[in-house]
Amino acid sequence: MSKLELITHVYEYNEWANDRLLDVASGLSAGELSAGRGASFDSVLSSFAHVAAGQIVWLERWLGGENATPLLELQKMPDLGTVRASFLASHAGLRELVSGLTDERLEAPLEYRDSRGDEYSRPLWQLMTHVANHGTYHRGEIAMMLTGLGHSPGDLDFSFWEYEHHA
Amino acid sequence: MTWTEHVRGTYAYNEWANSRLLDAAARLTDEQLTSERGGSRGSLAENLAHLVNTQVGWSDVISEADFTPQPPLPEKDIMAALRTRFGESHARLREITDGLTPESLAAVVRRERGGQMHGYPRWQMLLHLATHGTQHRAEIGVALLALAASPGDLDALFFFPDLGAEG
Repeated sequence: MSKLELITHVYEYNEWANDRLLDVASGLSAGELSAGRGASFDSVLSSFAHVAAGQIVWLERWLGGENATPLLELQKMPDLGTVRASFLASHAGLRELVSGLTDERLEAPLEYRDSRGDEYSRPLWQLMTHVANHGTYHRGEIAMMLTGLGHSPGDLDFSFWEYEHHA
Repeated sequence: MTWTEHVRGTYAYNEWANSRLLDAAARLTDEQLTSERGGSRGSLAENLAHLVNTQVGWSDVISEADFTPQPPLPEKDIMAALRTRFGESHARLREITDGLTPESLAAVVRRERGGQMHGYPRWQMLLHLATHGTQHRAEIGVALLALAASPGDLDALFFFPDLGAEG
């Protein structure tokens, strides 16, 4: 088992799970998308925006060492169409990154700065597993809210996806 | 950090985040814990039970032990029962992860699915269990927040602060 194999699986799953939720959320009204429902970022729309913005920010750090725009600015997405476009671009960027990865690059420390200018250095594979976990967490909140609105996204488990796509 | 160290860190985070949920839920009455709150399993109590029962079940699979059926939750003193079950499960997961080697992570473990036996690398099972925990903690977190019993921030960044700021 290599970290490359793990990261490849995890990011394929990440994209599938994001797209699954987006498809379900497309059945909501604008009001339902924006209504406060008590999640970390309150609404379905804001939660999606936060996940997309998080992916964008971290991808910028992995590619260039820093993110140009703070997360709080990036996640100001007014509607689901904007969110979808952000995910589309982000997923394409992540696929390109993952397809070019090697175990050596995953193991190597990546130096990056956050938007405050603070500097950090961590192996790339640790950062990538963190971002994947972050997506999973907020997707759990989104799934809860969608279910509460009568739009359950169904089974989002990694083992379900793994069985369906790699068995 | 080695791969086995990362898995141990992931499960240390899992235990920390579960404990935050339990501490928050302990502020609620049995009536609040058993009232319908949405999510995968309806009530907070049942969602917490699902979280820990899944840990127990997958611990059995991962360690190739016989399945340990879990009894239903009691009608009273629910949190005491949950804390005991979580405590035992966390101790077992620590034992499992402490004993991991690169070889045992890569080793194929067989489990029954859909009436047939399938083989999966142990690392995939551990990844699935950790991901499952993150997702369901998010659902539980939303329900707790709605009852004014926020568990606080469960993002991995707060357990691993040297990953850097989110924005």
